[in-house]
Amino acid sequence: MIRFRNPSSSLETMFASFDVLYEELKDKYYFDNDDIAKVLTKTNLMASSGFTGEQALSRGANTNKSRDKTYNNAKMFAEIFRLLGLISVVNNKSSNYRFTFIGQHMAALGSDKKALIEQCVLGINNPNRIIDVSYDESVRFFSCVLLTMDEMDGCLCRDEMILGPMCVNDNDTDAFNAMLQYLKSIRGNQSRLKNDLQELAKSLKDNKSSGMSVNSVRNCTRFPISVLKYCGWVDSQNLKIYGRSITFMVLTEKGKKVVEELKNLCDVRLGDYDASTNEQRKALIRLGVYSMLGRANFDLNDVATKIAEAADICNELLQGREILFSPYQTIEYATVNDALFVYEDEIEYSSDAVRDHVATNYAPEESILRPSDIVIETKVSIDGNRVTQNTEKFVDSVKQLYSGGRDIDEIIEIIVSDHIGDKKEEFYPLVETLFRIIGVDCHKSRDGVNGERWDAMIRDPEKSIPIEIKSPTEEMHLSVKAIRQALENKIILLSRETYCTTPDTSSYAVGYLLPNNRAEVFELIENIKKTFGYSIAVFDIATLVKIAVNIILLDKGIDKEELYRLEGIVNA
Amino acid sequence: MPKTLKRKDNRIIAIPKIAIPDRIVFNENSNIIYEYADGSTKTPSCINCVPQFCRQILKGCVECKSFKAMSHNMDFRLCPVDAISPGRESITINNTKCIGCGLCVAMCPIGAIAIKNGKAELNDSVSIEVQKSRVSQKSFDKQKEFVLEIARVRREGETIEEKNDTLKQLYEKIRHLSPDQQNIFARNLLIALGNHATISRHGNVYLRMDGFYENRSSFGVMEIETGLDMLDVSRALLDDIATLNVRYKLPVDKNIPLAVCLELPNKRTDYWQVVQDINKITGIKINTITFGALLVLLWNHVRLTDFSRFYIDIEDPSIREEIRQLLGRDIRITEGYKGILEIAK
Repeated sequence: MIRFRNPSSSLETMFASFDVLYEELKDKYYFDNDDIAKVLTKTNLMASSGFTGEQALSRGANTNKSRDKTYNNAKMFAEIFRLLGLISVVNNKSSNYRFTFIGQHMAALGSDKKALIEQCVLGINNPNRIIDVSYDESVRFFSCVLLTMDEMDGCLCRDEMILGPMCVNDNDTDAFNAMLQYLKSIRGNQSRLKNDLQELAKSLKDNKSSGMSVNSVRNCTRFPISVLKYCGWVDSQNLKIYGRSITFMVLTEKGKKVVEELKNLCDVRLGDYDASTNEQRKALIRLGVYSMLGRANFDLNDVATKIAEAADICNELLQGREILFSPYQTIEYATVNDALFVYEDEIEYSSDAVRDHVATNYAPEESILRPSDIVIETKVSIDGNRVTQNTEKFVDSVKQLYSGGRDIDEIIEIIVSDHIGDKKEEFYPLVETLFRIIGVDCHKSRDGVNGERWDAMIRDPEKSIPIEIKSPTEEMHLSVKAIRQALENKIILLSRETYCTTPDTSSYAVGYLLPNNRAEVFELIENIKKTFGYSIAVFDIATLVKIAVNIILLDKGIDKEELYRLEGIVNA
Repeated sequence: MPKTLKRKDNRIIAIPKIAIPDRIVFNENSNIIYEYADGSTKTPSCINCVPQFCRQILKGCVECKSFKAMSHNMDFRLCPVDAISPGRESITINNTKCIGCGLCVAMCPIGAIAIKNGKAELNDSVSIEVQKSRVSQKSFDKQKEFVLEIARVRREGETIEEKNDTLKQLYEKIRHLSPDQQNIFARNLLIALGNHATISRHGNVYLRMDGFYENRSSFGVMEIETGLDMLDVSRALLDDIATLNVRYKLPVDKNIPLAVCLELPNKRTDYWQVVQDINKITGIKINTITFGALLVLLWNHVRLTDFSRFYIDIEDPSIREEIRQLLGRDIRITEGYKGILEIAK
């Protein structure tokens, strides 16, 4: 099955980026992924950890290339541009690129690129000598999808596209017709569609492991579907062809016109090219490139003679038809240039010109947050004033586990995993219980009290702390959302004075697990501190359980005074 | 590399051969009219202007000097539903796609597009004399000269009359746009009202804010909400302000936040109380305006570049008086209707 990588950027961003890259890199003998990353970050087209420009480069930089965000973004852009024939590999190195003659034309078009993009999209074909792929279908994919839709009453759903055009050798007429018959036979049969898709997924290999998930297979359709829509060839429509409403791609009027054009074109593939004589090959290249440009509205008058000569040479194959062949997307860059009489000046490569633009000595500002490691060493026993039915129950269960031979780490693990499926109705009281065992007067907010926006409050005569809680069923890992709410809680408490507090007393966010993206959450906490002066502290449930269990079993807890001034991600 | 081929530009553009009128008069369901001092009138036609103002916003409109590091959404289409296509002699409008918002009418410098029966349409029965020409530097310059002059002419009348029903229908259509289209729509409304505005690049997960605006007197972060979660908007704006303050050194006191929503939230949501709390504790005034209010201003050719007048909180959550002052007349939207000017009853 054909697999397209899912680009993380919109097509609009990609094509706008292309112009910037061309402007900055066109004079280089070759450029690489690092150069692309530098240009795109410099011009704010690529961000890294929220930063653009120079800071993005510095933040994204990682000595391990596979983890370097900006590098990987650049690599993905390069892959798409290669797939479209706008840049090509030179020097026999997979990441040394040059702009192609088609790429030059693309850059010259400014914001009105669509007609040439459409030609490049139709130019994508396999096999080719440009991109190594892990599949072996012989197909001009986008043409195949459009021609299939035409035969399938003008519409195709995602799963049909996977089972049909993504798995066919479309230059084999029998195979193409068989694919159409197959799609027609399953159309309307929901269970067959589902089963066949599952079977297909099972039979595929992904990164050397056998079997892909259906979701991974479906992810491969994101790029083609967005391209088909971007070109204006299809619209989305919900149809009940399979009983329930499913999103189908439906051919637009423009799409139908393209289908009619495709039917009249002579589709030349790598095999046809290889089977031709040297003279014919050169002629095919010229015809292929110029016919793409002609269909994209470029004026061919200057090359009319070359086109006529080439058409004569290839007449046996073309038989008077216009050619559909994209040389830069099929054969080596140098071979295409040679046939087009494109001779390149040897420009000495220097990446300094690019690097000069970019300061690389950016040093992130130092954190202003206090360390948030708390030590469980203070002698603490359970405060009788804080005991409730829930705390007694919790204490009993811990003691029971302990007397059953479990050590402290095991007990913590058992309790934490017992609460993995908690809804807020179970999780919020747990947080209240744990804080009460820790020794503070924590109260969960009553449901429906609009004025109390926090989920719980540590009440204190001077320094009350609002708590934002996220149960594991709301979000397994705390996110920036909880931090934003913790800030709001602090502001509301200061404004409405529901309980006494001071501006420098912390506000808490408690969740099942610590944030997935710690850097992002940590940065927001720091930004809030620097901007508004408020401290926000983040706990996972394991930290609270650990403190509580230590108090219950060892009479060792934390200095309560520390609680009021915590900030950042709390570790115990 | 050899020279690239030239793009065939088959377009025919028109250069009006008429005097500049005294005013341009708009009326819903009618052609747009040029009126002259002697009482004579003319109906303008699409001149197929080279920049295609009704199709795309100029790149410069998204640039904000105070926040140059913004990673822009690069979709520069003006029409939120992409209903306008280029043509050889004139643009064409896809009647099925058009939602009748009036953005293209406002951005067409000539006055060639009117709203008729809820859809954008090119004027019919046009009566201006034009000289048609293929695109060349010379023809472009001549056309530009006319466009610059006509853009200064006073515009009167209403592109669309504000009515409950019209806004109800339009709100339904806005709700059905994708989140990206809704953000693009909000950005383009702000631009059409005289601001620079930009929205975040799609997929930029690290810069969490929806957008940023700038005009001669101010700038600020922007959040766009078409659902009911306005409390998330006030939280997001504080996050945006803090992030821009620390990362990009944009001073908090200069950053005038703007919440753009479909409906002003009702009192039960606590949004208005929270907005007041934020002002009381941090001094930050969150300004709130609706798509409906922006559209009414657009349909009446009003420029809006001072958003600080839209600070409202629990004391009086209404923007009716501000809009009335900007229009210079009362507004024909029922009190509380759809939460457009005051909270819904």
